[in-house]
Amino acid sequence: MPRIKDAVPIIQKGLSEKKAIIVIGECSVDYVGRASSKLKLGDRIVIIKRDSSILVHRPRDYSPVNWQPPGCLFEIQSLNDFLSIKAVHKKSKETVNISFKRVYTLLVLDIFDTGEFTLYASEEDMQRCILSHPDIIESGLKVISYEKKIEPGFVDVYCLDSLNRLVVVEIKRRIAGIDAVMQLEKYLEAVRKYSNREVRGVLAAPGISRSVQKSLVALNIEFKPLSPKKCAELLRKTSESKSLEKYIT
Amino acid sequence: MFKIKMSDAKLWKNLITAIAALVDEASFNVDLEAIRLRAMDPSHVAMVDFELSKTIFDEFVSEESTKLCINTSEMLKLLRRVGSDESIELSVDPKTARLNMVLRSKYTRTFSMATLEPSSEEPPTPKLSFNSRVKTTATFMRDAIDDAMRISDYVKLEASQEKFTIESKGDLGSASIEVEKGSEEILNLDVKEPSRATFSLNFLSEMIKAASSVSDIVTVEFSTNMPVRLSLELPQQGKFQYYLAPYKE
Repeated sequence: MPRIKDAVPIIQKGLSEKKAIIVIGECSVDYVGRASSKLKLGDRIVIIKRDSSILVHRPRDYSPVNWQPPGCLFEIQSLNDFLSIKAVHKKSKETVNISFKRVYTLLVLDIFDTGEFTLYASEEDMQRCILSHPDIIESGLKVISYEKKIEPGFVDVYCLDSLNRLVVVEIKRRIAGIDAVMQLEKYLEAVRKYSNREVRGVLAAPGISRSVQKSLVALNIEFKPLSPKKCAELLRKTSESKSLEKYIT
Repeated sequence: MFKIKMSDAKLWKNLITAIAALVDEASFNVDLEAIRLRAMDPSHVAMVDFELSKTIFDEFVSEESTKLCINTSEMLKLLRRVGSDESIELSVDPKTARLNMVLRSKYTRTFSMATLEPSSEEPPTPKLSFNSRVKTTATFMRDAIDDAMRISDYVKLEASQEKFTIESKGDLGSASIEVEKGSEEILNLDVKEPSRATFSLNFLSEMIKAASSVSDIVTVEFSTNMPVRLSLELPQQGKFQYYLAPYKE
C-alpha cells in the first residue's frame, strides 16, 4: 500500500508524461460546476486517461459517479495526510476535488491503443457483403474480381452488369467526399484505357457530401447508398440462416 | 400503356409494406392478366411470391408484358397517410417513365415518383413438398412470435397430428406457445408426418407483422429442417406467399 507522500510525486510524474493512471483507495469527492455534489468517504477507482479526462467509479454501477471530459488540468498534493487530486476542466471551469484518506493501489501505465473502433461493419466487411451479395448494389451484377490492381491502386470490387458493361465499385464506410470521387475517377480512366467496353463507376457509401454531387454528375459516376449497418445485418442474416437458393435448384 | 385502379388504397399500401419487408427494389411483371412479383431478399434467405389477377382491380389496362420497378420505401413514404376510404390509381407515363399515383377520396391527391431500371431475372419458386400444414389466425401467429422474440432470436415450429407448437430458447429462459387441434385459433391442422424446423425471428417477425395487416388468416407449411411457406389470404384471386430458409443449427 503506497504511502500518501510517496504517491504524490509518482502521480505528478505520470501526469507530466501523459500516462494513464489508476488510483484505488478510500476517498471523498466534491464537485462544483453547473451543479454541485458531495460524495462521502468510500472505496473508489479513479482513472485519469492520457487525454486528461478523469473518471471516478464506485465498486458498482457501470457509469462513473463523477467525471470530467478530456482537457483537464490537475493539481496533486498532500494535504493534512490526505492525497488531494484536483481536476479543473479548462473550458467549463468545472472542478472535481478528490481526497484520498488511504491509497490501496496506484498504477501508472504506459499503454497504447491505436485500434480502430467500428460499431457495425468495417470497410472490409462491406466489401465481403458486396462480394457475396452483389444484388445489394444492383440486381444482375456479377463480380469478376476484387482488390484488382489497377494503377494507381486497387479497385474494391470489379463487376459486370446485366448489359455486360464493366462496373468499378468504390466502397466508403463514411460519407464520401471529393477524395473518394477523384480516386474512383482515376480507376475509371485507367480501366477505360485498356478496355473497349463501356465502363461504369459506382460509389457505394452511406452518403455523399453535398459538395461532390456536381462532380458525380459531371463525371457520370453513380452513387449507391449503402450503410455499414445494412451490410452488417445482411452478413448476420446470411450467417445464421441457410440460403433459400439451395432449395430452388 | 399501363394503368390499374383499386378501390381499397389501404390494401395496396399493406401489400407494398409486406413486399418491403424483404425487398427494397421491387420489380413487378405486368402482363395482360395480372401483376406479379417474385423476389428474394438481398441475403437470399427469404422470398416473396405475389400475384394479383386483373379481376381484383376496378380497372386493369395492360396492353403488353412490361416490367415496373419501384423503390418500395419511396412508395410507402407517399402512401403513409392513406385512408380507408381512398381509392388508388397507378399509371406509368411512357414519355418520362415516371409512375403516377392518384389517391381519391373527398379530394384527389396526385403523386409522381421515379421508376427504376427493371432487374434482370426473377428467381423460380423453391421446389418443396410440405408435410405439415397449419391454417391459423394471423393474430395467433403474431402474438406467439411476439412472445418468442422476448426470449431469443430464433424460433422452432413443431407440428404433430394433435398440436402446433412455437418454441424459443434463449440464455435466460424459454417460451413455448401451444395450440391444439380443435382450438378456435386453428382452422386446419393437416400433418402427414410430424415436422419441426427452426427459423430466424428477424425475418419471421417482419413477415408475420406485415401479413397480419393484409390477411386475418395465415397458412404455415413446413417439413423437418426445410424452408417454411407462409401464405396469406387475399380477397378473390390473389396470391401472397413468403418462403424462409431454416436456421443453421
